Amino acid sequence: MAVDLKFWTSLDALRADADRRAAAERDCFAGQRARTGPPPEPSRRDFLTLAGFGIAAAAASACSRGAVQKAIPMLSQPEELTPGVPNWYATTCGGCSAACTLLAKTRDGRPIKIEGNADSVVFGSGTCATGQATVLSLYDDARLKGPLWRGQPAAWADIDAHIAERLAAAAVAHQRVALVSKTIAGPATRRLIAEWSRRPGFEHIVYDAVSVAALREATRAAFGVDALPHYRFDAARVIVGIESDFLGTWLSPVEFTREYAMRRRPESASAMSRHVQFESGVSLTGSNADRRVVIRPSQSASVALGLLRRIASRRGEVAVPDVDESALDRQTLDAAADDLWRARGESLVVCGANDVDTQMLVHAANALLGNIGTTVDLDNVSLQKRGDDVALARLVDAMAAGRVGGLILYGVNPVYDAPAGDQFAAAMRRVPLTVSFADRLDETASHAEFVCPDHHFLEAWGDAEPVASCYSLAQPTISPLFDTRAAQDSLLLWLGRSPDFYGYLRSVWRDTLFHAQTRYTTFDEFWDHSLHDGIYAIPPRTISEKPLVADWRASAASVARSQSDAAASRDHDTYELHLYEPVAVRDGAHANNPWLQELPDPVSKVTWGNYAAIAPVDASRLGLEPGDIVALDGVGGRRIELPVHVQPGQAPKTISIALGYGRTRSGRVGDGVGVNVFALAQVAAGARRYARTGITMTRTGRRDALATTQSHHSMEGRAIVKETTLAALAEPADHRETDLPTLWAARPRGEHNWGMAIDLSACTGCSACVTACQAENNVAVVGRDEVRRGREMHWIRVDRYYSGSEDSPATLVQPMMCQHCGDAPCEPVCPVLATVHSSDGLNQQVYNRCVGTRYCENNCPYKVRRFNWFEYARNDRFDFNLNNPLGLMVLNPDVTVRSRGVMEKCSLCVQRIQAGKLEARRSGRAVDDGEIQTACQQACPADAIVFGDLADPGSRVSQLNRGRRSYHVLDELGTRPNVTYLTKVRNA
Amino acid sequence: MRVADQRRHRLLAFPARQSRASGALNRITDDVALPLDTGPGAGWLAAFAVAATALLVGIGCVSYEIATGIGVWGLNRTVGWAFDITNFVFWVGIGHAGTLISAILLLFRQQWRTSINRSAEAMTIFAVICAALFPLIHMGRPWLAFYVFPYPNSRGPLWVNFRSPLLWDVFAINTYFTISLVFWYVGMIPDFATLRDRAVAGMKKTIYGIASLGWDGSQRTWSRYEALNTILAGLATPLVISVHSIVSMDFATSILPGWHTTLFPPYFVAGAVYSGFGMVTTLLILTRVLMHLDRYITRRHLDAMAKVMLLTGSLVGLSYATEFYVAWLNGSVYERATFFTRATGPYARLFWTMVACNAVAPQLLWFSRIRRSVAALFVFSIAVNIGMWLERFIIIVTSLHRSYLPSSWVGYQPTAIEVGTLVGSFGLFFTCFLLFIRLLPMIAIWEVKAGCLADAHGASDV
Amino acid sequence: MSRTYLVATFADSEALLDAVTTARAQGFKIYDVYAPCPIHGLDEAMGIQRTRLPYVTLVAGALALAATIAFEFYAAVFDWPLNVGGKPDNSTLAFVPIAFEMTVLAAGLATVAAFLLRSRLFPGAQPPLTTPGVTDDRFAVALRWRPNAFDTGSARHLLVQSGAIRIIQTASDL
Repeated sequence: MAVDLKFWTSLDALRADADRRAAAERDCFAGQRARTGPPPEPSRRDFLTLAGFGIAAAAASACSRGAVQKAIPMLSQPEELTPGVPNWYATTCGGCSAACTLLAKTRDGRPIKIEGNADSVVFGSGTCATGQATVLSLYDDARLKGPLWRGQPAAWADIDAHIAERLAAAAVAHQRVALVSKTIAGPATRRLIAEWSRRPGFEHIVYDAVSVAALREATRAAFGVDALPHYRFDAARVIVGIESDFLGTWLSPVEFTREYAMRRRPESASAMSRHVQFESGVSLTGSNADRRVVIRPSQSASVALGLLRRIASRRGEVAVPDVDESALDRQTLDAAADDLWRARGESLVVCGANDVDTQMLVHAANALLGNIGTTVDLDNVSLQKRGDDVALARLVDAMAAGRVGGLILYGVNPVYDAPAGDQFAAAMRRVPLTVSFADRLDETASHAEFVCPDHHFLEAWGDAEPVASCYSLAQPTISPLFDTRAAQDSLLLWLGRSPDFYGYLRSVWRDTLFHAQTRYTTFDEFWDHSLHDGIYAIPPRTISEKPLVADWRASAASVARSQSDAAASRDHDTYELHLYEPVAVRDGAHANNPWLQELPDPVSKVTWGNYAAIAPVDASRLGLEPGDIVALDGVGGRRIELPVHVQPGQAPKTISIALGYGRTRSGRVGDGVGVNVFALAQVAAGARRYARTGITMTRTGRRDALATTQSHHSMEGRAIVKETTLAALAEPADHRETDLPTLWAARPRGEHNWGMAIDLSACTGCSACVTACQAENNVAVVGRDEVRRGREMHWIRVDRYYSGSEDSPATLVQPMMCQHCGDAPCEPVCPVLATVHSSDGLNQQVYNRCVGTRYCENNCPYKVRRFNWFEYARNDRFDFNLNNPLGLMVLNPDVTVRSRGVMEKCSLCVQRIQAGKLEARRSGRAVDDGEIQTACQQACPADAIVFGDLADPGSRVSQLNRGRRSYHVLDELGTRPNVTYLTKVRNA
Repeated sequence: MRVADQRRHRLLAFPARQSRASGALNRITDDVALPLDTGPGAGWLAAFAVAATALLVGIGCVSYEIATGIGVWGLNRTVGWAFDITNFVFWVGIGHAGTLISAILLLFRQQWRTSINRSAEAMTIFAVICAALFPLIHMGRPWLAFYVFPYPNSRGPLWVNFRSPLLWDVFAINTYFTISLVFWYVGMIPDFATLRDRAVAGMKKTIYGIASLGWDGSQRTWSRYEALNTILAGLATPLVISVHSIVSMDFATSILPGWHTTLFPPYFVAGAVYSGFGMVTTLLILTRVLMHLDRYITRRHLDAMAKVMLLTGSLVGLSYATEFYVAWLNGSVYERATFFTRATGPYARLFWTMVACNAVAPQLLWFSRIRRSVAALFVFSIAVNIGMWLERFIIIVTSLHRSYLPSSWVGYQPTAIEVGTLVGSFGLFFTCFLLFIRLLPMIAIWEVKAGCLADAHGASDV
Repeated sequence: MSRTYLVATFADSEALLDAVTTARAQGFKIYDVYAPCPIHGLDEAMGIQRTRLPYVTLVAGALALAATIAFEFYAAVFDWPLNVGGKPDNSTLAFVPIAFEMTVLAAGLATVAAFLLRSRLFPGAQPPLTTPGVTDDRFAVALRWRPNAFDTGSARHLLVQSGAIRIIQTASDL
């Protein structure tokens, strides 16, 4: 339990650090700004107390062993803490390079839930599954408890001394010192690194595990802008995606999903968008497209060229190199080009292929369509991925040649995720000084001499500028759990500065943003409000149309050439490989997070590991069943063995495999789950291509059944997910099902009738709701074997159905949770009244009364009830976050941890409902519509889920419930659900 | 003095005279009591060893399950019941034959029942014990099983759900067990007296003495006693029907396609009688061989039971047909899909085995040669047991594993623990039964005597 | 006080039946008859009137039925009304099965209890008149012997006539 004690030390330190408190009072706007419930205008007292906590938290020294010994939980209550009342701190997500703005909910001083920051104009109130899960990574017991020197725990002082010495030595020897970092979101950190760059021989290399360097390269070449374009999907009436999973993982999925969903509702003011997707593997994005066209990865260039040619010809441009389109579906290309052309100026072509020529063509297409300045913003560019593949390759050579005197690794794990990871490891041995800021002894850090663990982002100060002119701040929500130190503090210290990144951050903001604004007179006021809001946006530059400076015809020609070569040399017995970043564990950094491992892939519904997704035709030709292990050869003598997943809609003769699995040093949960395929990426012209040709697939005869949460994929002609087209919707139709007659007299209702409406047109199936619910409701992780047995515990699941041919099916998704039926079939069958109906429309489950007959589960037509087959908490059989004291800290104290043998299910976040009602009653008013949000609704980046009071005719949910698209699943059974679905509309 | 001369007088007066009937009566007593006086035979010992082993296996499995969690079974989020409730319904069904033979046939004055009703009732008791085990251990938290009783408590108003068929089960099974037990015991009182008076002295005499409650064969008691038996039979008859109707309502009152049908109560009762008679036949043929009682368990008995199985088996077959017809008739896509899956889906092989055992096989019983062949009937009775177990499994699992939302469709595979538990229940059943035939009069002595007298009477009238 | 009985043992139920009939015809009071099994027509011969056990059954059953229904109403409607699947608090039909089971249970147990009490059957009870073999293959008829209003000779005679194989005169405190 030592860990538990440590956790309290922040509060203890708070009490201990009276002098800091005094300092804080002098500088009373310093430190954190908490949002308690709905942010009130903070009183001075708040400021003082928060200041105290903030300073204490900022000071890493507060986490000293001595304090641990003295720690007595809550003996004297810290002032800003009211037990049972959550504090909200605005911060910035460190889950991926998108750097979304967040609110972290802390209870009794510990963060337990991540939510989006509704004030952000870029990201909105939504989050992604990965962001939701980052709070669990904070309590990951695989994190280092302190710095290591040569694998042994050491004192920071010693380590700092050694490193300073070696850096000096390197300077004397005129050796290079390289800092290899992830994309740095924060201007302050960038500034800090810039200061390092003044040192002779220092080199900063930005390395993204999953690279989009070619896009940046092409943008530089095409428009002379050295950044990624900022795509505006909300401005696009026609969207054509090529091998780009922009709703799932590409660049900034939360932002894109939000903007995309804005134009997927037929009711929305702006016309509903049309989306055509060209791709090989079925991505989350492709599964949402109005039209999904199956191509092989190698064809993405010719698709881009095909579109470009057509657009150019429509513009009357001439001399467009021709390309052999025999392998492509010309009609579709024509149609797509027509759509784009008709919507020129408000259309958008995006491409995920990491190939400069292809990206060049896409830029050209957008330029010819006049999208530059409308849907493609080159003035407020995206700074979310700045990786430079070529530089890293050069560095590895230099390291191998012994020309590098120091290597500092910040947030990167190249030994695991670089194509030549083993070379990197070998080269590291030639470097005299190797330092890693990794939070765990990962594949790379284990080769480093010094490991100086960085804080988790929820423990650290920081800032971010994901999109030019949109700034956000990150503040500690808890004092560091372990003896870790912010990487920035380390960098400051080794630069000979005082390790006070908090001060540095403030100074940077003072010098730049504060002086650039006029609204606030004093910096503290400015700082305080920015910190409270978490975001600070300066007025964006007016978007202008940038001319295309490069001659795209050259790229077109080379593409045409390479395509014809490829077509000529194409071997029809081999397969094309397509590597993609999965929605849950992303690039593998989150592999040790059980929530993400157990999150079903939005399309394949497979959990716990990656697989070789192949087309049904290939499967039947090779006689492969799902779960058969195949061996893939053709990558420099490497042989990869993976179980097969037969994926309807997968391009024939292609194999899609997810990156981010097969970690070996991530921790107990993530190690050995799946296979690492980063090494299969192809390094072409410096850029990492996540595709390659010439793969042979052979069956091994062995089997490894995939842990999938859904085994049947057809709706069997049942009207479960209702779907229509925009055209059909235009015709007037009386769709609303009449209320079925009931034998029973209506029962007296309470003042509320809580209900939910889910817009299937907006829902993309991204599954952020699933993880959000897991975090909010303490849903247990059961592990791969139990998922195989069909025992996952998720309260909300996203059902996925295919319709049409299995070669190119349409995909339908439907979030499914307890429907809170007005006449619930589960209730009358329980012998002990463990599940009954509340007066305000909730179907309640009484855990301590439940004896576990499972009759309710059998009688639930929606099969949304979950049974505790075992004791999932504190059970070595389920060695996940609920089995170690650290992981238990993420539990939501408002929700019971269910014991073995009881039934559980979605409660519509009854704890939030109660809190909302209480809040309203305390301030003597009725509950406002939208005041209470369920976890799934809050997390949804597409705003597809609306919760509210059906008894209030004016509420949003009531309006949607009355709307013409609304229907109830299995309405004919007379269950009278309180959850309404809105028919999915396709713009086809 | 007077007594002495009386005795002399009598001795002079009357030469001893043996009647045909009384000789037969004495023989009946001896025959039935013989196994209780002699030691166990090799056959019995072997059978007991097997049964006890099976019982131990079951105890092991159940202990492991209760210690670890229901998760050691093969159930999942979609299939919440499988082996557990299958076994429950199966054993309850077995039990019903006993009550039927002893009660309903008594009401119908079927003399032939007399030599088998005792063991049939015993079978009922043991079967109900096995059955009651499963609802208990299938609970997620069996240690809280007492929650299902509406006991007065200090937790504010806290009662049970009288609308739940599971609660009906609780009361039905308890009542059924109690009444069967009482009926059985009451039926044995006169025989205990016989054994008491037969026993020379010591342990046996004391135990039988206590058990016989001081029965002295007084005709006044006999006449009340027969009335009592008739009343209990009259109560047990509707009871047995109600019990299996209620069991069937566990399914019939749900909304699950394949469960939700009004046909279930009669269908289940017929099935129960069918399976029960199957089990009785199995047991009687076994005891007939093991205990050499072919004079009491005659081909006539087997023939009569075969006829009952012919009737009920045909009823069961008719029910199968009706289910499918109704599913087709009502036009609900869910119903149709369920029954289509049942006949063609992953469990189709089990389904057709069931049809063969329960609907087709009984038709062979139209032939008296089969009805009167002990070997054939034994094989058939085994088939009945298998078929009727499968019927419950099919109804429960095929209906559950693919219901309304295809997204939740899964398969179900039993684990070794579940199989072990089923084996254990058979172990429990046969252990009890084998002990019964060694320790208690397994044929109702007094009833056989009564029947024998009636016959003698009839003979003398002629 | 000790009473004396004349107990005649028969080996044949028909003989016994004759004996009982003639004895009653000649005005002897049949104290009781002992047999290993109920004998057809003996009740009439002895003039035993029909038992009243069925009334016990009826009353017990009726009471249990009323009590159970009442309890179910009290619990589900008055004491703890809940919204269970939208069903009415008073789901009368659903209350029937349990009420029925309780009726049968109470009726059965009450009848058995009444029988045991009336017949003075209880663990450890001693039968007042034990005649060897009446639980095996003998039948016995017992006549109460009264000092003056009882002609032992004629009684013996008719018993012998009807085929008694053994006659003893025995005293018992009952």
